[in-house]
Parts: sequence; C-alpha cells; structure tokens
Amino acid sequence: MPLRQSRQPDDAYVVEIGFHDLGVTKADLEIRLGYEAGRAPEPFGGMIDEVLAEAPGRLGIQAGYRLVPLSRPADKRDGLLIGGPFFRTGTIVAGEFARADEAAVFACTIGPSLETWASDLTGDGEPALGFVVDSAASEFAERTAAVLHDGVAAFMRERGRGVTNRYSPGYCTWDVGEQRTLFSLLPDGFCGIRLTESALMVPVKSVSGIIGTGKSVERRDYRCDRCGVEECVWRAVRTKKKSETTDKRG
Amino acid sequence: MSELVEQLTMCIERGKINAAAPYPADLRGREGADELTARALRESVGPDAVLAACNEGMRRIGERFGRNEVFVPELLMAAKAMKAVMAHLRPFFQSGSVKAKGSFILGTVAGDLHDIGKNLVAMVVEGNGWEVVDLGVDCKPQKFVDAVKAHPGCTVGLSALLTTTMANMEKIVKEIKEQFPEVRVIVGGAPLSADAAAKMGADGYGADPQGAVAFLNSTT
Repeated sequence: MPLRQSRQPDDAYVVEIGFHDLGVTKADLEIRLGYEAGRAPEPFGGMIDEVLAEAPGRLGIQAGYRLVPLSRPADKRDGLLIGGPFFRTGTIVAGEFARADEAAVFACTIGPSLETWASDLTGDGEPALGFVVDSAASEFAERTAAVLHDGVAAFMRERGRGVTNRYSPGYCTWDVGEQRTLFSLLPDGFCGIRLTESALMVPVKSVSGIIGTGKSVERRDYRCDRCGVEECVWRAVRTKKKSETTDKRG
Repeated sequence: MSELVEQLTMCIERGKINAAAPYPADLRGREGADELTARALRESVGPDAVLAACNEGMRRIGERFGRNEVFVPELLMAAKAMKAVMAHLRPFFQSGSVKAKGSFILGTVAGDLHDIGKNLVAMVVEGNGWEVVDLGVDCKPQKFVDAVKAHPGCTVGLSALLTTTMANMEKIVKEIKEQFPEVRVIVGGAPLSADAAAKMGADGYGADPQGAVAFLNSTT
C-alpha cells in the first residue's frame, strides 16, 4: 500500500510509516544477531518474539523530508550546493548526484523508547535481551530509512522524476560534522530529532541524509569499491550483510 | 572436587546462571554457576580456584565466539553467569584475599554515543577477573586522563563505532600517551583495524571482546 504524506510549510513533507510498513521478520532479526534464519536457539528466538510483539507499541516512528535545490559547482567538484550551503561530500557522493537538480533532505527516527528499554534491560541484569532489543531497534531504524526512501521514490515517480541512492554525513569521506548544516535545512525539531554538541542524533536510532532527484536520475547500488575509506563502517556492514544474507538464505 | 570445578567452568561457558534459569534448555533444572560456586566455597575450594574455573569458561566461550560458533547473546549469557559467581566472590575481593588482575578503564570516545560494543567488552573483561572502570559514552580526553590518574597501573580501552570519530580516538590515544607513556592502550570498534590502531599510536587492537582479554592478559 502506498505511503501517505502530508505537506508542511517550505516544501517539507511528513510521511506516515507504521510498524507493519517496515516488514521486519523474525528471520531478519535472527540473521542480524548472527544466526541462520529460523535457527536462533532458545531463549534467543523467544526474545526476538518478545521484541517483535512489544515493538508496535513502543516504536515512535517519525519520518519526513524537505525538497531543496541541488547543484554541483563546476569549480568545486568535491561537493554539492544543497538548499544554499555548500557541503563537502567528497567526489564519490557528489558524482552520484551529478544528474540531480533537487535533493530530498530527509530524517527519520523510531523514537527513544526501544533504546531506553535496551538500556534498562542491560542495567537490570538482562544484557542478552537488552542486546536483542538494541539490535532490533537498529534494524527498525535502518528499515524506516529504506521505507522512507522508497516512499520518496514513489512520490517522485508521480512527478516523472527518479531518485538516487541515499547518503548521509559520515558516508564515504563526507564529514559527520556537516550534519548540523544539513539539519539547518529542515524545520526546527523535525521528527523530534536533536543534535548533540558533536552533531550526533538523539534519539540514537535515527537516520538523516539526502536523496537526489531529477528527470534523468537513476538509483544505483552503493559503490564501495570506488571509495578509499578502508575503515568505513558502512562498507564493513554492507559487505558483512551481503555475505551473511547469501550464506544464510542460500 | 575437580568435577565440581569442571561443572562450574561448563556453566560459565554455557551461560547457565542458576537452577531456576531455563537456559540452556538441556541443563534445565540442574545447578548453575550460582549454586555451584556456593557449594565450591562451602567445600573449601578456594576463591582463586573458583575464579580460575570461571576464567577458563569465559576463555572457552570467547574462543567459540571468535570462531563464529556462538554469537553475542551467548557471550552475554556467559557474562551473566559470571556475574552470579562474582556476587559470591565479592567479599574475597573486598578483603584482598582475591585480587583483580588489574584495572581496565573503558569508554566510548567523544562524539560517539554507541555503547553496546563497549558494554560487551566490559562484561567479558570483568568476567575474566579484571576490575572495569566504565566511563560511559561520548568521553572527552580529559575524562580518560582523570581516570588514569585515579587508577595507577591501569590499562585503557577506547571504543568507537563511527568512522568519523576515529579522529577523536587518535587524539585521546595521543593525550594519554603524552601524559602517561607507560599506560597501555587498546582500541576497538567496527571501523578499526590493527593497522589503524598502530597508526594512531595504540598498543593493541581488539577485534572482539576476547581480543581485549588476550591483550590484557598479555600485560600481566
């Protein structure tokens, strides 16, 4: 079923995403924890069931985006002008947006409840369940961003436009410190997310970034092979996920 | 007696906390680390021998974790069983008849709020007989420096999940090394590698909690 969005002032949109839109299954969480799908031993399989049963009541999903003009200056190839400010995204990210003329600056969160629950469980001597909750929360947050991305793609398709993959400060060589400038393009308190002094999002289980849009834009997979940041956590996670999914789903 | 000690080792490895604990299923209803420790101490197995048995259990589960035979949840159950043992041993630590192997100061570096990896390392290291001083997340260099001053002879562990906070990690390593060249520092976290650790001046790199334990034990 297509997502619903409501328009806000200044070309901002709030997108309604519910727990069931995320489509997270027990097998997804088993794989995330390291097990094969359907093979998590007890009590961990039961813990996953408990988290999946509790999650709908605890998730506070908020998601949205704002459309702003985007261009790549001819004299500064290592970045993008997004809604006015120049972002030094690095040439790889900037290159991916070469055909885009607009950016959907997005943010989404699953709210603080699951991370509080995980922290309380760990503090109360239930670290394994706390870890399962935290892992599930990460999965929910990542899936929320993916669903929002698909939603933006669908909304853009209606306007005859395509979308790029999504990128966040911290990807490739894009300095996470630019998160603050990115948030300056969004309405105050957008999605209930605030930034710490070091520009990290609170709630922690939140995702922000940009999606390029344009008439001749195509979505391509991440091209980690082109990036020189060998210690990149995103590359590590993607490589691990890809191989685990192949191994465990066959 | 040795059978009791071996049972205790097995309970730690398998994460069998006490008789009431339903995990693992094949040990349901049997004594766990809690009861076995109480019995061992009653039957004059010394606290050092109890601790050694537990350390062996933690070593075994850590090795299985390193071989991807078990995953973080199993490791955490073992750490929880270890905690049940430590409740019995605490008076011996307090009286000084059993000594921790040393102090391990641990924190997630400034700019990073992730704590699951750090907490995991803390539990496993503590389970291996070390006193852990957990500084929390988003720790600035001064917080580490103050903790090192308060715990002479300590070892320091720095954790980071974000690639972009590795620069902060390097600053903290340098700050500690400038003020306390003798203090050994180990770093760990998803974006790290042995090369990156060496480049930033750290003495060690822990790919997983057991790596941290191996590094710590090599310093004693």
